Amino acid sequence: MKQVSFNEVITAASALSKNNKAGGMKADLYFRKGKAFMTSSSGTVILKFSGISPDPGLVKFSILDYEGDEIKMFKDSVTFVTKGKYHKSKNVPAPKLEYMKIYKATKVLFKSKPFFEVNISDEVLHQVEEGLSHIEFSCVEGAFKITQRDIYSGAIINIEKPVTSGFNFEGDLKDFKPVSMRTSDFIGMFLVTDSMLFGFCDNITKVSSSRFRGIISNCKYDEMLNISTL
Amino acid sequence: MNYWEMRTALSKVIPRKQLLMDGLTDISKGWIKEKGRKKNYSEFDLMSGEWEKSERLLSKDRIESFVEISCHASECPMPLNLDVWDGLVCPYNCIYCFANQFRSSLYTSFFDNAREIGLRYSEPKEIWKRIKGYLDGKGEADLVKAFQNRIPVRFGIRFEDFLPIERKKGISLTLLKRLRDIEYPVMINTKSTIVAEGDYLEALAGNKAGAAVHITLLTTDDKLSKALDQHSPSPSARLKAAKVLSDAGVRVVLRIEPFGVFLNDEKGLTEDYIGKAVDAGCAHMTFDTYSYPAKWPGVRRGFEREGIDFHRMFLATSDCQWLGSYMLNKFMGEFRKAEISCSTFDFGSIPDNDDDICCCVDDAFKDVNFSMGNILSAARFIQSRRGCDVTWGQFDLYVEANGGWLSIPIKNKVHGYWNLDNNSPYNLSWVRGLKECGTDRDGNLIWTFDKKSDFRESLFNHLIGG
Repeated sequence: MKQVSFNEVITAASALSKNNKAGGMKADLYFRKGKAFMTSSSGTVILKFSGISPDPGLVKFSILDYEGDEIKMFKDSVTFVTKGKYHKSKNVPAPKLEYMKIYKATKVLFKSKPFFEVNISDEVLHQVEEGLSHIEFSCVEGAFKITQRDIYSGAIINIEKPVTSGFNFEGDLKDFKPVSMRTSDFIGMFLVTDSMLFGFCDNITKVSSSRFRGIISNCKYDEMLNISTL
Repeated sequence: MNYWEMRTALSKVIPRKQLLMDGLTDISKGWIKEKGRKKNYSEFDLMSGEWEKSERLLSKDRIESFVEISCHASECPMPLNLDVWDGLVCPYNCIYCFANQFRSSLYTSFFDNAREIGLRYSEPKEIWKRIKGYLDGKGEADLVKAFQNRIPVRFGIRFEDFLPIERKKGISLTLLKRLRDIEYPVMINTKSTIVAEGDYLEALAGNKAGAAVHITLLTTDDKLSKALDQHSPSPSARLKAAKVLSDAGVRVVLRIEPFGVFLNDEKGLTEDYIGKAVDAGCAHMTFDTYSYPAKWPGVRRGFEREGIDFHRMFLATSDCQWLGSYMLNKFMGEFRKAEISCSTFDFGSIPDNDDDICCCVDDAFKDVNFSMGNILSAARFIQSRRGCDVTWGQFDLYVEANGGWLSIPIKNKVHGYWNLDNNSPYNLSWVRGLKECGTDRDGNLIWTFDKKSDFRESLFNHLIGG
């Protein structure tokens, strides 16, 4: 993975948090030793950046609070200092989680082995209906497709590439049952980078690009209504 | 396809959310949105040169009488509301109640002492004076007409009127007794069991004009009930109250509102509900999907605090009107199999209601007139013409012959629904089987009813078949 600048991480988090296409997602950032987790307020997306330069140290904050030149942690709060002709400091509560807690919780998830991998670029977004809540991926009779179901009109939208290689598959093209995720999570990824590898696992989808790797929780097709934690 | 097969099919269309880890979502914040009113706020007045307190205060103990024609009168045959109790938050505090959210936001936005009001009530003497005035032809024209037409008066629309404090104060009781004494019909919406006790029971059962009690009971499952409405009486207590009322001759209607797909529609729980309802002597039920205003962020957070995927339920039941309507219609079919009479306010299913009024109280009162000048009754009127073309003029004549319009604004609103003037969930086009078949010489739409037609069915089949 390439090194990324601190500003690139901030830009990625801002893009996720300030764009309506990300479904109102708000990102929190947790930095430690040149690495960072970016978590979404939806609880369904975590991205990990490595080799961050300059390293801001052990800090955590909500991207919507971020401003200024310096970041200082004080117990459960964080202070942003902007320097210039006048000095401005802004103190806000810090996010409640800790870097290591996220690290431990996601360690196993990051080790999940995908049963199918495909490279998808942001060109596909021209066809994706951002107003529909979910998007699903499947491979039926050797054809990979993206499907959205419009519950309002009853329409079924299928997105395929006429030439199979267009999606850039890794390995064999084997059939698999639909994997679903929130449309806003899918679109949100392309606010961070324009192309990435999606690796579908049983409960999560792994995403990776040259600048980050991450996990998106899959949605479940069952008859329960509880929000479960992986 | 029966309801359970439909439910399974729908689960393949709208999936459930999973979280990557605990603690990522912040659902702990209070759900009462307070819009920045300050405590002990003063402003310095430049003219007087003094600090002046700038306050707007609510009365802490009393409210003005809430006798009113409902703002939903253009959609409802029983729009005469009488609420006597009020407060910032109803102590039952059910997680699905958006009235709490609305009231809290309203009160805390405009008043400085909203937190201090506690439970307050209208003075029965004052309310009674107003009601007597309406019956004698004095006061607002629409209320005079409603009382003179003997539209049943409804308690419990804005607030729970039978909280435990009512036992001590007897505010609602005083009015129930007076209404009984003049033989005026009464309907109550409640989750309380007080209505089945002593004087309350006597006041209801002794009302010769008839009394009906809608008892909201979303589930008979204690665990689910604890998640949804834990501060209300338990399901078994509510069913016991229903039995007492029913045995005393009071019309009892169990109410599943909101009905939520994947929420309170599991097969085993539904069978349990039906069995217990029948055992409690309940032969009538009403249902409705979750109203769209429930999409209040605080409501969603309340569900999520209980670990419930509100978004999934809301998509399947409310956000998409035809889908929730169709699911509800089929769900009611399960209750009909047990010979329970079912009705709903859901517009898509109006033709399938077992009564004309949608509250399952058609035959519960004596010498009453319902307000037929509303769009729900318009749909039933068109249906009753058995496939004939129906004009606005015909419906207008029907209303005039059955008590008349409560007001011109209500008539105008219904007229708008009839002609699909706005994109409204109450337009006639939402009612299954209703079809436009032209316009009359005044440009009003002409409607007919095709009993076999259901636009929702074809949409559903396409959605699950793709």
